[in-house]
Amino acid sequence: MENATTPSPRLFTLVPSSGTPIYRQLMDQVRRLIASGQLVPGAELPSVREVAEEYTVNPTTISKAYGLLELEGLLQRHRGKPMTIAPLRRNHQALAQRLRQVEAQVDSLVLAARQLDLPVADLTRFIEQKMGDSQ
Amino acid sequence: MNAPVVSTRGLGKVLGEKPVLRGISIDVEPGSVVGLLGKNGAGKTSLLEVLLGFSPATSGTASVFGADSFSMPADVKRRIGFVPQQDELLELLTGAEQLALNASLHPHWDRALIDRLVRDWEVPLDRRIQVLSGGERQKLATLLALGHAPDLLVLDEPAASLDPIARRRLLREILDIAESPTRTVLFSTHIVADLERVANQVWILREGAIVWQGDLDALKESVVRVTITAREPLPAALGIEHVLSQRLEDRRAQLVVTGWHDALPAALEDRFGAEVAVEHLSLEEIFLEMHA
Amino acid sequence: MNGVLATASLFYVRSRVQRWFFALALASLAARSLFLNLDCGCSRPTSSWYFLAEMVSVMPVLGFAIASLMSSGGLFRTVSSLRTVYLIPRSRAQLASGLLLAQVLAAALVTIVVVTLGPSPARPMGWGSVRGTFEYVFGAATLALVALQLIAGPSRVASLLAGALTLAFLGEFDLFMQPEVAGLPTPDVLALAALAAWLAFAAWYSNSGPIAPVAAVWRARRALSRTSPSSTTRKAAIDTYLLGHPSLWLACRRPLSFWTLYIAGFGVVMGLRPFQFTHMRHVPPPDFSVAALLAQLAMASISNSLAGNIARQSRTLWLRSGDSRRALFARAERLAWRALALVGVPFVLAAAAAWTFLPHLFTHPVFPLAVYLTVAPCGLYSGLLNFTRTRDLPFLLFFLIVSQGGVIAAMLQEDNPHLPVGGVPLGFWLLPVGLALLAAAMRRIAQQRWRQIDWLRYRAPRASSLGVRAVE
Repeated sequence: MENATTPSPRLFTLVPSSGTPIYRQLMDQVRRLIASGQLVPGAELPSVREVAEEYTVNPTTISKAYGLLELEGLLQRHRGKPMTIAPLRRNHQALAQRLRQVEAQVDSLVLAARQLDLPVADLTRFIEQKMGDSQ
Repeated sequence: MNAPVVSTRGLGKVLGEKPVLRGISIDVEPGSVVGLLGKNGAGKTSLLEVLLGFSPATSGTASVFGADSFSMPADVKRRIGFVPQQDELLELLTGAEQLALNASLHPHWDRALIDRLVRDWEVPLDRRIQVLSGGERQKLATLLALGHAPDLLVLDEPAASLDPIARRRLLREILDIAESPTRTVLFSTHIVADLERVANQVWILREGAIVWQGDLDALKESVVRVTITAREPLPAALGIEHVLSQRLEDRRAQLVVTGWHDALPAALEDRFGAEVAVEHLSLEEIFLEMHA
Repeated sequence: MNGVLATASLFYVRSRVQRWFFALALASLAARSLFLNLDCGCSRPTSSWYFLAEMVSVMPVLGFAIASLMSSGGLFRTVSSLRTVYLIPRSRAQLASGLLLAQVLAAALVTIVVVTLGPSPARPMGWGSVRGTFEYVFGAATLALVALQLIAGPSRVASLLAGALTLAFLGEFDLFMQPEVAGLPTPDVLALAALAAWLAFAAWYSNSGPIAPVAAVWRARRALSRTSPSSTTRKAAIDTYLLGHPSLWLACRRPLSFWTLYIAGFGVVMGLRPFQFTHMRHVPPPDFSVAALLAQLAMASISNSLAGNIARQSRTLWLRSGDSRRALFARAERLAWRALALVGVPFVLAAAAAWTFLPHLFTHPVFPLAVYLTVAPCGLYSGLLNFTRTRDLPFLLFFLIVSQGGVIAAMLQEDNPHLPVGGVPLGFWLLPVGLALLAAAMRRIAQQRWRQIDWLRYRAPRASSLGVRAVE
C-alpha cells in the first residue's frame, strides 16, 4: 500500500497516571488518527509488544484496546502480521443511535458555547466549516 | 482450566491483640499482574506473608496452586519466587556467592537470564553484601527470586529503594513475565504510578480489609469526581449513593462517587437543575479519596 | 547542667538489661556483705576451701558488676559513634562529664550498701571507712571503664595492652579486699589515678574526629577476600542459609577465638601468679579451675547463640528448601548439634586435660563435667526457641545459677570425709540427671513450637533499639 511505512510505537501518547484507563486512551487515539486521516485503511499498527515495551505498560491492556477496536470494525487482524486499519465502511447504525454516541461531546460544546456567549448560528456555521475541511 | 493461582476465603489474622487482616476473600487468575495498594500498616505485608505460608491464618483459608498455604508441599514452593520487604541476603557473602548459593538450591536455574539482568541492572557481584547500598541489595534480592523462573512471583515493596531508572528496569522485567499466560505476578507497593503501568488487577487494602478488588480499568472507570454547580443553594443531603467523599458549599458540591454510569450526569442535571461536570481520577487520587 | 544530669542517668539505667545487671550487682554485693558480717568474730581459717568459698562468693558480685560496667561502657561507645551525636555541639564533653557523674553516683550507691551492711573491722585499705570505700570503688570502676574504651578502640596496641592489664587485675581482684595484702595502692591514690586517666581520655575524646562503631572496627580487622566455590551442594547451601555463614567452621570461628583468648588469658593470669612478686603474706596457690569452668561456659554460650542464629534464620528456608516445618526443625536440630560438637569437643578435652595435668582445686572433676555436659543441650534447645532476642539472657542466668551453684556446692563438699560417688553425695547426681530430663523436655517444646512457627510475629524490628533523645 502507498502509505505503508514501518509503524512507530511513538504514534500514540499514553499517560498511565491519568483518570482514563490506558486501553481507552489508545482506542480514542486510534479513532482520532483514523478520523484525521493520519491512519489510512491498510496502514499497519505497531504490535502489542512494541507499544507495551515503548511505554512500559502491561501488554494485556494494549491487546484489549486492539481487540475492542477490532470488534468495532476499525481494525483488521492478520495471522502472523501486524494489525491494519480496516477499509472504511459506511456506518449502518440508525441516525438516532449515532447521534447519541456524540451526545457527550455535544453537551460539552453547548456548555462552552453558553459560557462564551456564542450564538447558535455562528456555531453551526463553524461546525459545517470544520466538517467540510476534513472531507 | 483456569484454576486460581492464589485463593482465600474469609481470611483473618490477629497479631497479639490487633486484627491485621479481616475477612479477605480473593482469587488470582493465572497470567494476571495484581497490585496491592495500601498505606503503611494497612496489612499488605501481613497478607502476603499469610498467603505464602509464613504465618498461619487465624480464621478462613488461604491456598496457593490449590494447596493450603501454611502446609505447602515442596513442589508448590518451588513454583514461587518471593522478594520480601526486608531482604534475606547473607551479609558476609559476595553477590556472586549469594547467587551461586541460590542456584544450588534450585535445579532449574536460568543462568542466562541472571547474567543478562546482572548486566542490565548493573548489580555489583564482587563486593560483600554488607557494603552494598540499599538499592543494590534490593536488585540482588529480586534476582534471587527470578532465577528459577517461578510461576508465581510475589514482591513486597520491590521498588522502595530503587532510583527511577532501576525501577523502570524492574517494571520491564515484570512485564516480561506478565506476557506469559501461565506466570502470575503479585506485588505490593505505594508507588501508585508503577501500579498503573503494569497491573491489571488492583486490591486496595485499608486497615486489614479489602475495600476494592478487581480490574484496574474498571476501577478507574467507575470512580468519578462530580462537580455540581447550581443556581440555587443545594440541599444538605443530596441523596446520591456510593459517595466516597464530598465537599459542599452553598451552590456548589464536589463529590467523588463510585458506580459511575453514562446516564449519571443527565440524571443529576435533571434532579438539581444544575450544571454537572464529571472528571475521572488517577489511581493516586482514588486512593487518597478512599482514605479521606 | 540538665543535659549532663540526663546523660548521667542514661548510662546505668538506659535499657532493661543494664538495670537488671546493676540491680543484681548491688543485690549480690549486699548478700556478700551480710555473709561476711555473719562470719566475723571467728578466727579466719587458712584452709583452701574457706578461701575458695570466699572467692567464689565474690563471683556473682564481680560478674554482675563487670557486666553492668561493660554495658554502660558499651553504651557510651555506641552513643559516641552515632553521627547525629557528633554533630550536636559540645555533645562529647557532655557525654564524658555525664559518664563521670554516673560513675560518682554509682560508686556512692555501692559505698552506701557496703557501709550499711558490711563487716565493721577496719581494714588497712580503708575499706571500712566511708571515704576509702568510695574512692576505691570509684577508682576501680572508672579505670575499668577507661580500659574498656581502650580495648574497644581503634588502636590495636592500646587494645591489647589494656586488655592484658585488665585481665591481670581482674584475676586477682579479691586480693585487694584482704587485710593481709600490702604493697598495693591506697584508695585515694587509686581514685586520683582514675580521675587523671579519665580526664586524659576525655580530653582526647572531645577533640577526636568521628568514632567508628565497634562492629566496624572489628570488621576492618578481618581478612577481606577469600576464594569461594562457584557452586555448592544443595545441602551445603541449606546449611549456609541456616547459619548465615558459608561453613560451620566460619560461623564458629569468631566466638571460638574470643572465648579461647579469654580463657587463655584467665588461665595464664591465674596460673602464673603474678602477685607472687609483691610482698604478700598469703599467696593463693596456682589454680586453673576458673579457666576450666570458663571453658564449659564457653561451650554452652556458643552453642546457645549459634542455635539462636539458626532459629532466626529458619525463615529464609521456608520457601527455598521446600521443607515442611517439621523437616526444618529436624535440619536445624542436626545443625545445632553439629555446632555443639564442633565447639564442645575441643573445650571438653581441654578442660579434662587441664583438670588432669594442671593444679586446681577440684579433687574429683567428674561431677562438674557431668553437669556441664547436661546443661549444654538445654542451652541448645533454648537457643532453638530464641526467635526474637539476640542474647538469650534467661539461659545465661540459668546457667550461672544452676550449674555454677551445683559446682560450688560440690566443691564445698570436698572436705567431707564420707565421699560417695565421684566426690559428691549421691543426692547431688540428681542435678545432671534433672538437667538431662530438662533438655529432653525442652526438645519436645522446641519441636512443638517449630511446628507452628509464625514468622510474621518474629519479624525483626526495623529501627535500632537505641533511640537516643537529644540531650540538650
